[in-house]
Amino acid sequence: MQYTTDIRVIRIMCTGRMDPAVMADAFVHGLDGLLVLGCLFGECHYVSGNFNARHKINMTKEMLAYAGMNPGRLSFRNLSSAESELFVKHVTDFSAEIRELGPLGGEADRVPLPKLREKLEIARTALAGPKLRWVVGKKPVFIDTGNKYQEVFTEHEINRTLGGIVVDEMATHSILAALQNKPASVKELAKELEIPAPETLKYVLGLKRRGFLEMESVKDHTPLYKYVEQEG
Amino acid sequence: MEKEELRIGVFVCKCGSNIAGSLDVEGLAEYASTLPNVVYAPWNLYTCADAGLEEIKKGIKEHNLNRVVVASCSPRTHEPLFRSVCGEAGMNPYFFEMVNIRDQCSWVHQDKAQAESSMDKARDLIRMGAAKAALLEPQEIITSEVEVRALVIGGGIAGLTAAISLGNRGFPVILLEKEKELGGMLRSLYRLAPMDLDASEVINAKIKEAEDNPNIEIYTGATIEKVEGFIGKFDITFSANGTSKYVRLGVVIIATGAGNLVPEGMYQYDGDKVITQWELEERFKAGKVDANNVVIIQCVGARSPERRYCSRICCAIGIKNAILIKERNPEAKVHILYRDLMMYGVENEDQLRKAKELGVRFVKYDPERPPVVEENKVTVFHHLMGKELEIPQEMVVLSTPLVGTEDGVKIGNLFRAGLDQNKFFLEAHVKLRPLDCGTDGIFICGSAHYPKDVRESIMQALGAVSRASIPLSQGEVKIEPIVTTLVNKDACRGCGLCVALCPYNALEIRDTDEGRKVNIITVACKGCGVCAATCYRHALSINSFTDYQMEAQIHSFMAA
Amino acid sequence: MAEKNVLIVGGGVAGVKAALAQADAGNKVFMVEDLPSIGGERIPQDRIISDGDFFTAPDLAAVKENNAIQVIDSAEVRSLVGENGNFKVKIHRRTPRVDREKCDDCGECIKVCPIHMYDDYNESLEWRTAVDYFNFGSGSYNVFKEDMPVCQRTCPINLDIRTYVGYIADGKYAESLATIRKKLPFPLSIGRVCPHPCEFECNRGYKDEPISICFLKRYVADHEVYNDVEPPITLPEETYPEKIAIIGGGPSGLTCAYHLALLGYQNNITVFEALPACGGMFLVGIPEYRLPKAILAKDVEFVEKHGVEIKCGVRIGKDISFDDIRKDYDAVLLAIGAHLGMSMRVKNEDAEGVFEGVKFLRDAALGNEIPNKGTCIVVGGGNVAMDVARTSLRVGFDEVNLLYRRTRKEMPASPWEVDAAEHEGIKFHFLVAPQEVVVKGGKAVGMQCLKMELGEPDASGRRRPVPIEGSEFVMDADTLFAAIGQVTDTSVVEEKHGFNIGRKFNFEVNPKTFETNVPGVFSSGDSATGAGIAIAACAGGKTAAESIHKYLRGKK
Repeated sequence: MQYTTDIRVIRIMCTGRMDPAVMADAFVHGLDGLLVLGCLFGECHYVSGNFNARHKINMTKEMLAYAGMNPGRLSFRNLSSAESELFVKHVTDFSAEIRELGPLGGEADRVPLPKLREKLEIARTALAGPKLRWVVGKKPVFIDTGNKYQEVFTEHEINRTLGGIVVDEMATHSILAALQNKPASVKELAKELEIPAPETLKYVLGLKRRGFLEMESVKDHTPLYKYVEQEG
Repeated sequence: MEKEELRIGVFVCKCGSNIAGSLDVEGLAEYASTLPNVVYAPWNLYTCADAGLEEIKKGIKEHNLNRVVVASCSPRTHEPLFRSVCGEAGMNPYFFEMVNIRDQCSWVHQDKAQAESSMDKARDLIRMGAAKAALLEPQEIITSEVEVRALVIGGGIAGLTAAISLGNRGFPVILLEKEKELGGMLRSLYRLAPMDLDASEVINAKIKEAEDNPNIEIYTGATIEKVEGFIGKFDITFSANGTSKYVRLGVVIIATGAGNLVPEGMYQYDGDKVITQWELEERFKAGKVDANNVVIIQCVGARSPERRYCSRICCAIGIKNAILIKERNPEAKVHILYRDLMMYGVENEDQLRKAKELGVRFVKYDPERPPVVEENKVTVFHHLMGKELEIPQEMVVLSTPLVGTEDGVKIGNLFRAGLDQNKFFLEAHVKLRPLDCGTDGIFICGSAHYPKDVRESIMQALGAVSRASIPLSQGEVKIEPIVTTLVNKDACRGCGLCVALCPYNALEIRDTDEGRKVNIITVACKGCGVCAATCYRHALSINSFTDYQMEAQIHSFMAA
Repeated sequence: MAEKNVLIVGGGVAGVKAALAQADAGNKVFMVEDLPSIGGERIPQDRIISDGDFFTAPDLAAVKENNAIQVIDSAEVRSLVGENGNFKVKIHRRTPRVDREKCDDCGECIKVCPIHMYDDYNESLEWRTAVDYFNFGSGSYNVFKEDMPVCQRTCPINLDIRTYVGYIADGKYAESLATIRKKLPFPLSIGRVCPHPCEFECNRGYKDEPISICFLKRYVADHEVYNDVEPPITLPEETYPEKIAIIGGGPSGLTCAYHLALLGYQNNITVFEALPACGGMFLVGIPEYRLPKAILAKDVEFVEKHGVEIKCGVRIGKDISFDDIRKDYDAVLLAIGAHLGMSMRVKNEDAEGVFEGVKFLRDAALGNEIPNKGTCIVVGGGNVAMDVARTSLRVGFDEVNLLYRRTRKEMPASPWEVDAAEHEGIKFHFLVAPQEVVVKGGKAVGMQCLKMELGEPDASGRRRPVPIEGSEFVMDADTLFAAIGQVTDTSVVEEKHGFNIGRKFNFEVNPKTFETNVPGVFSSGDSATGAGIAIAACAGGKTAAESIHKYLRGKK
C-alpha cells in the first residue's frame, strides 16, 4: 500500500470534533485543501458524531464558498477503519483534486489573494460566532424531534435558512470588521464592501439596535458609525 | 500558575528497518533538535524496547524535560506504554504526544522517487507534533465508584447462565424476565443438538440453580421503565407484576434473546401441513410427528434482500430434527433442501455425517429458483444435478431465522446501546471488544447479539460475566481523561445546545450560584468533541484535542 | 360576589392609567392586551433623544410591581356575557413563545435568531429577527410566528404542504405520506384529480412556475404503491363505544369515517353506500382515464382498514329506512353528494335521447348500458361537461359538440381539461345557448340554439351573455347531454324528519360544525355545500368528524 506524500495527518477523536472555526482558520493560514475522514454513516464510533460533522462541514463549505474560496478545497469523506484501499483512494483522489485547483487564491478561487484571506478571516469570525453555530447545532434536533413546539422541520427548510444566514453573517461581520478599523458612514461601507446601500443601511440599523454599533458623529448631515466593544 | 519554561524532548524511533529503511532517522532527530523549545532530540533503534524506554526516562531526568514527543508508530498500539513511562519518570503522562512516521511515512512512501518528499512529510509531522506538545496540559486519570450490583435483562439460557455465574462470584444480581416464567426459548424446544439433550432438563436445572442462589433476585413479568446514569451508577426503574421498583447498579448484561420469524406467505405456510422448526419442536414434545414424507426447506426468509444475514443455527436444527424423524421412523423419507450448509465444529460435522448415514437426502437449491410447495409434493430444481425434482410430501418444515425483537429495540434505546439494521445488538468492536456495548458498563450475550445455539449462548454469557466482573470487583472505574471540560465557566450560558447533541447523555444543565451552567458527567463522556465543536460561547473543550492545539498543528505545518 | 374583579381591555397609556387607578381602589385588575407587551404604541426607545427617558415608563414599572394587576398579553377578548356587576368573559391567549418567568433579558436569542425579516414597525426600513424586543421600555420579548404558508391556507383541508413537499425533497417519502395522511386519506386519488387551488397561490409562481404540489402528492403516494409498501395503520388506544352511521361512501363520507376512526371510534363506524362500490364521485363522476378504479380502490381500502365497515348497495329510504338508522346509531352523517343533474329548463327536455351528464358518467363507470352512436351535444362548461364530452368520445360517438353560453375565458373547467378536450377533437361552440330540443317522433334529433354576446358582469363576476335577436339555428344530434350542474337528491329523507333544505337543494348546515338542524345528524360534502371540488368535500368530512366527536363527547 503506497500513496501520495501530499497529506499530513492530524488526529482527532471523532469528526464531530471538527469545529467550523478551526476549519476556516486552516484556510486563513493558507492551507490548500482540508480532507476530513470519518466513519461511515450509521457506523459512527461515537454514535452520531459524523452526522453532526456533515452538517457543520456542509455549512462551513457554503460559508467559505460565499467568501470566495473554491468549495472543493474542503471535503468530507467516509470509510471504515478496515478499508485501507479506500483510504488510499480518498487521499490520492483528494490530492489530485487539490493539485488541479492549484494553490489557494489562484484561478480556481473566485476571489484572489490577499483579498481572499481577508474574506476568509471574516468567514472565520462568523463561523466562530453564535448565530451559525446555533442553527447548525439545532439542525439535527429540529430534523429529528422538532422544536419545543413539536414542529419538525425538513432538512431543505433548514438548509434554506442556513443559506440566508450565511449571506447575512458575511455582511454583518464585514461591516463590523470594517468599522473596527475606523468609523464610517453607510455610504462608505456600501462602497467598500460592495453591498447595495439600502441593504447596508438595514444591516447597520440592525447592528445598532443590538448594540454592536453606535453613532460616532455626524459629518455633513451623514452619520458615522463606530464599533462597540463587546463584553463576554 | 507560573509559566515554566518549555523543555521538549523528541525521541525518533528507527523501529529496526521499519522506519530507518526508508527515512533518514538520524537526520530527522537532528532536524527535531532545531525546532523551537526542543532541548533534546535523540534517536533510538527501538524506542518501545527496554533500552528505548530507559532512554526516555533518563532524558526526562537529565534534560529536565517537561514535554515528550515520540516519533515512531501508531498511538493505537503504543501510546499507553509511552504515557506510563513518562509517568514513571515523574512527568505528567498527558504531557506526551505521539507522531506516527511509520504507518504514515516509511511504510506508505517506499518509492525511491518519494524519498525526499517523504522526509519532508516526516519533518512536518514531527514539527506539528512538537507544536501541539508545547500546548499540552496536565491531566489526571479519573476514577469513579462502582455500585456492586449487576442487572441481567432476560431469563433465557444466556441470562440465567450470566446471573448464576455472577451470583457464584458473590455479586448481587437482579434478573429481569418479561414473561411470567423463566426459561426463554428453551422452554418450547424438544431436544438439543448436537449432544441430544432434553431441552427442558437443561433449562429446568438452570432455573433451579438460579432460584436457589441467594445472591440472585428474580423478577418475572418485568418491564424496564427508566434508565439513567452510567457505568458504576445506573439508576433503573422497572415494574414487575404491577409494582414499580428503583435500583442503583453498576453493570448491565443484556440477554434479551431473539424472536422467531413467522413465515407468513412463504411456501404455502399454514401452521398445519407446512410448519416451522419451532412448531415441529412442539409437535415432537406432544409426540405428534408421524409423517412419512418430510421435506425440510432451509434459509426461509433468511439471506434474502430483507434479512441479509445467515441465522447460522438453522442448519444444525434442521439436521437434528431430520435425524430425530429418521430414528423414530426409519421408513420415513426426509429431504433437506438447502442453499449452503453451516455445520461448523466437530460435533456438528458428525451430525451431518450421521444424517447422511441414516438416509436423509440433501438437495441444493438455487435462491433464484426456489422450491415450490404444492398439495402433496414439492417441486425443486436440483442445483447440482441441474434438473427438476418432484418430492412427495406429507409435511413441509421451514427453517426460519431468529430475528431481532421490538423489545430489544426498546432496551437498546433505554440504554443507548446500538443495534444493527436487523435489530441485533452491536458490539463495541467485532474483534477487540466483542462482549461490550458501545456504552461502557453494558455487556451483551446470547441471541440478542446474533443467532446462537445454546452452547454459544452459554459461552458468551460466561464471557460477558467475566467482562462485567472487572468493574464490580475493582469497585471503581478508571477513565482516560480525554473528555470534555468546561474551560470557561463564565462563558457558559446554560443554553443546553450541547446537551441535545451529546450521544452519551454525558452533559446536563444545572442551576448553580452563578446561574444555569452545563455539568459534565465525566464518567459517561467519551471525548468525541461534538459539544466543543458546537458551543457558541466556546466554553467547552476536549482535553488534549483543544482548538488551540489543532490550530497550532496547522499553523506549524504552514510555517514551513 | 365578594371579589371585585375589573377587566381592562387594552394596555395602552389609558389602559395602564385606568389599571393603576382601579388597583389603588382595592380591586383586582385584569388587563388584556392584544400586543405582547403593555404600553401601547409608544415611541420606542431608539427614537427618543436621551436614553431611558420614556414618558410612560414610571407607570409601566408600577404595573409590573403592583400585585393586584394581572397582565394578560398576546390575548384578545372573545366573548363577554352577563350584566353589570356579573360579567363572564372569555379571553383567548395566543401561545406565548417566551417564558417570562425564566427570561432574564440577556438578549442572546436576538443574536442567534436565524430568521431575518423586514421590521413592519419601522416601515421595513430595518431588518428584525423573528424574536425581538417588543419594546425596550418594558423589556418584553415577542416572537413573530410566520403565518401559515399561502398554499396551506388555500387548501380546503389545510394540508401541511410545505412539510410534505419538503420531505419529498429530502427523499423521506414515508414521512411525507404520513404528513398528508394526518389529514387526507386519499393521496392517490386527490393527487390525480385535484384542481389544486394551492398551486395558483404558490409564491414560486412569481418567479417561474408554481411547485407541482398536486403531482408531488401523487408521486409520493404512487411510490408507495409501486414499491408494494403496506401503508402503516395507527389507531388510538383509547376507544369510544358510540356507533356512527355514515350515509354515502364518497370523498366526504370516507374522510369523515377515517377521522372518526383516528379519534377512537374504530369498529363502530358503518358506511352505507347506495352504489355497488365505494368512492362516490371519485368512482362514478370522474372517468377511468383520470382516476383508475384500481387506484381508487387502494385509497378506499386504506380507509376500510381503519376499522370502518362499508356496506355497499344499500340505499337509504329503499333498502333501509332513515328511521332505523337514527334508532341504531348515535350520530349520523349525510354525505350523499350531488348526483342529480340540473335541468336546462328548455322545451322538450324530457324527450328520449336527452340525458343528464352525471347519470351518463355514472352508467359509464358502472358498465351499464349507455348511448354510444352517432353525434352528441354536451351543454355546459364545467369540469363535468369536460368529463362527459371526453368520455362520450371514448365510448364511441363519432362527433361531440360542446355548447357553452359564454366564452372560453369564462369556462369554470380547469384549463388543462379544456385543452385536452380540444386536442382530442371535441368541437367547442362558445356563446351559444340551448333554446329547445328538436323532437321527431318522440325522439330528440337536435337542439335549437341561440347565439349570444357578452354584456355586463353579473353577480358571479362573469360577464352575462345576452341573446342576439334572430340568430336561432339548429344543431343536429342523436344524443343530448346536460352538464350544467348537479344537486343533491334530498328525497332520501322524508319531510317528517324536518330537515331544512337550502337554496341549492342541499341540507342546510352550520358552516362551522356541519351539523344540520336535526340534532345528531350532520351533513358534509356536496350534499351540504352544493357541488364543489373533491378536496373541499374531504375537508368537510374531516370537520364533520371533529364535530361528531365533540357532539358525542359533549353528551356524556
